[in-house]
Amino acid sequence: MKEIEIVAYTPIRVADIAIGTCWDVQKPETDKARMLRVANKFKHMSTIEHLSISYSLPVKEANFFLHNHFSIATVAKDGKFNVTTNARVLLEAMFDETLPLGLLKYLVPDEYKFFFEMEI
Amino acid sequence: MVEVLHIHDPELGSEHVVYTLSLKEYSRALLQEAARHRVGSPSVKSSRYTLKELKNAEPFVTYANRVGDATEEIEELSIAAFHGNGYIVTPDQYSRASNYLVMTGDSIIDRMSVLALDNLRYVIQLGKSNDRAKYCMPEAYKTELVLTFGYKGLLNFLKLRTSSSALWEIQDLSNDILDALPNWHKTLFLQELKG
Repeated sequence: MKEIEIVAYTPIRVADIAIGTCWDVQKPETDKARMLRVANKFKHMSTIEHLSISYSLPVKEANFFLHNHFSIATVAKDGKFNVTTNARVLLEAMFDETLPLGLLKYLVPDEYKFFFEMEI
Repeated sequence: MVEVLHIHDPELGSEHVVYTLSLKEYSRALLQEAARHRVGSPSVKSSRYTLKELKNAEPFVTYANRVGDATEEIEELSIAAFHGNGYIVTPDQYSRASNYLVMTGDSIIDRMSVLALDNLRYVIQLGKSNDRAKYCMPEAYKTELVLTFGYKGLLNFLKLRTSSSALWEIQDLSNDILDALPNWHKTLFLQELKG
C-alpha cells in the first residue's frame, strides 16, 4: 500500500536479548525458532514490546492507533499521522482480529514477519 | 550496570523516541520500585532459573554448632537450634555472596542478607521446588532486566528517581542510565531535569 510508510523499526536482535534475559535459552534452537516459541506460541508477548515501529500513515489506517493506549500518534505536516507502536500491539491485534490481515501485512516489517507467521 | 541496547529514533519528534536498556547487578528491591512505572516495559530474569545458580553453591555462612545439613529435613527443630550458637561469614564467603547480592555498605544489614542467601541455598539444595523456594529470596538478590521506555516515560522516571528522596539504589540507577546514554540524549534529559 503506497500511502503506508514504515519509517523505522527496532532490530529483531533486541527481542532475542530480552527473551534471553527472562527465559532459560539453553535448549538448542535457532534465534527465530526461540522467538516464535516464546512470543507467539507461549504468548509471552511482553518480550516483543521492545520492538518499536514507526510509520507515516493516512488517517484511515492510523485510526486504530489513535485509540490504542500503547501507541503514540502525532499529526504530520502533510495531514498524515506519525505513529509509533510496538510489535506486541500488532500481534495482539492480529490475534483478536482488531486489525485486518490485509492491512497488517503492510504494517509488519519483513524482519518481523516470521513470528506473525506471515509470508514475506 | 546499564547498557543501551537500542535507541529507536525515527526523527519524527521526541515523543516517538524509544529507549531499550539492559540493566544488570541491581536488586529485586529496586525491581519492585522500577515496576511501578507503568510506561516502561520490563523483561526480567526469571527467579525459576535464577535459583539454579545456587544448586551447587558452597555455604555462605559457617555455623558453630549447626544441627542438620542440606541432606535432611529439620522442620521439627527450632530456628535457633538450626542456626547453632553462633556463625561467621569468612571474607571468601562474603566475596562469593556479593556475586548474588547487592550490598548496602551497612555491615549488619549485609550480614543478615548473607544469612538469608544461605537459607535460600539450603532449601534449594534440600530439593525444594523453585516455585516455593523463591518465597525466601532476599530483596537484595541481584536480578537482570531489559527495560523499554518511551522518551516521556524515561523523562518521568528520571525526574522522580534522581530525587534525593528516592531509594538510594534507584538514584544510582538513574545516574547510571544518564551516563550510559549518548551525549546528545544525555544533554537533552539534563536540560529537561534542570527546567
